[in-house]
Amino acid sequence: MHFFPAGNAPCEFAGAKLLLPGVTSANVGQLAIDLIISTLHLPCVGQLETSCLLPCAGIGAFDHLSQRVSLSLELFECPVAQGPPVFVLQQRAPAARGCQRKYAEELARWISEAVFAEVVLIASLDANLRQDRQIAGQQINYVSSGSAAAVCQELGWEQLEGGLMAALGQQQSLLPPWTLIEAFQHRSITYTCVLAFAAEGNNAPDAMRVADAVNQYLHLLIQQQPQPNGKHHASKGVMSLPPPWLAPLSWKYVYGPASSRGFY
Amino acid sequence: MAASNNTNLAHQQPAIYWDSVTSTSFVGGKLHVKQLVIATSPASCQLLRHCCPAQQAAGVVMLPEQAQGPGIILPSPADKVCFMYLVNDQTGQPSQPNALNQQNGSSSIDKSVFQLTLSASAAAKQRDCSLLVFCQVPLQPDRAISWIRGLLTVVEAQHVLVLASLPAFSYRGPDDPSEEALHYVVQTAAAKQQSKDKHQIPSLPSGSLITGLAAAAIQHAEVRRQGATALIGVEARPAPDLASLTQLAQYTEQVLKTHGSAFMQGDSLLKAAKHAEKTMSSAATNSFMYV
Repeated sequence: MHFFPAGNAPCEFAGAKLLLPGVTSANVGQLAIDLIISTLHLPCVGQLETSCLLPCAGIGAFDHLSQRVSLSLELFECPVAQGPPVFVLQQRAPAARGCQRKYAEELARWISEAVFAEVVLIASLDANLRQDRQIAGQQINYVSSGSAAAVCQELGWEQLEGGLMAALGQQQSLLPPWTLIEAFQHRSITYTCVLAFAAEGNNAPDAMRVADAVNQYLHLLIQQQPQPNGKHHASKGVMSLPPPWLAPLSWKYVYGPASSRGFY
Repeated sequence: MAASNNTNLAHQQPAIYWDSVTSTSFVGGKLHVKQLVIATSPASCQLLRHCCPAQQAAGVVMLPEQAQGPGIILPSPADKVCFMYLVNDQTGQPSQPNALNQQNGSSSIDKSVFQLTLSASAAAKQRDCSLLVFCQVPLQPDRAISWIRGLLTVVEAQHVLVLASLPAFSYRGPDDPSEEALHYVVQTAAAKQQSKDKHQIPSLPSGSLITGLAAAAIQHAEVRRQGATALIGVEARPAPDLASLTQLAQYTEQVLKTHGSAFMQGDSLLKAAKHAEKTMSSAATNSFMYV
């Protein structure tokens, strides 16, 4: 895995936190990352190249990067109120066949060499896996490697039950987020995995919920965007979300174009 | 074991063979050309084949897992390898005169791909040439990166153009692909700076993603700040109609012109589009006749 910086200046990762998605059912992690990047207008600081992910390319995923080519793995920088910045990694493509574990190992090696202080991994679990007591209430669970457990509990998150984690870790051992967690543990990387139960469908509300949780944990300075007319700004035609979230431009046609007026 | 085998295969680069003439014009272990044009969709392969009728392949790209026939007699659209042709960047004519025919005074085409001779002066003209690669074999998405890397290790081009397609169900945009011909472009930042004039081709709408060879080429070039353009046609039917092929031909001409190449232009474009449409519609009809 090789990092290509966007500008000429090198990026300083040592001591920073890294937020990244796990490509899981309902894609909640990736959607939440899209919301964070779009709302905060995060600049892209570089791309990562690996042969373990399927290639993909598009244009103008975000309003503030409307002419930029988007690739499989891109890194954005988010300044925070105190301390080193948070880097946000967006993954748009799944791992190639047979490459899940290799991808996890490559990513863990890059994180270890860059000396990130902590990794925050956001992913979703199939809602069908919930037990009775998990159906109601807070749908955010966590798995953490170290001292972050106390912070997570203060936020009202529940630790994923040991039994469920062991069962999923065994049944889905070759799927994220378990491949990533295993790779992080192998390299002694401090991590917190934020897990949300979600069913496949319109997962924008799930993404907002997870993005809210991540914002509380990382203090990403997400505030309602002030507007002269007092209304919450959203790009024309893009899905309208409750503040403070701004849907990215790439969500505009997720359900196809509007029906032709000639039908009515 | 199976996963390990898949991983090893996915990272294996293709085997690339050049004819003896082309291989003599390598500089620093690479073939330097002006444009590298890779046709990956059936429509683009047929169109280029009719636009630039080159009979002698400069080389082949072959993935290790693809079956090879009993011997390559003459390149054909049915072969499971990807043939490469060198064409003059301005005229579109084959860049290598058939020296064997001249010597023998015969009009027959030499049947062996790898036994061409050429004068040294002609070899030096490779830099005024463009390389056309016909990727007529459907490529698994996980092989795309190693395929592109393998090719770009031995070919250095000022600009890379990939002609590809996007199935209609993957398209996310304001237009209806079933009602009109739709072609879009994805360009690296370097390609935008390189192009002398701006073309009028719309950019791929936000929300649509390209995959496969086109995406691998764009990815490879963008991170290295090299020029690459993907011209994407949205496919809504088994065989493209004349309007779609004509638009593809015109847009390809525009992209090539903005990067200083003129080997596709004029009346030949419309003729090529008509020939390609006829070939593809008969192939599509035949495929539906037998269940």
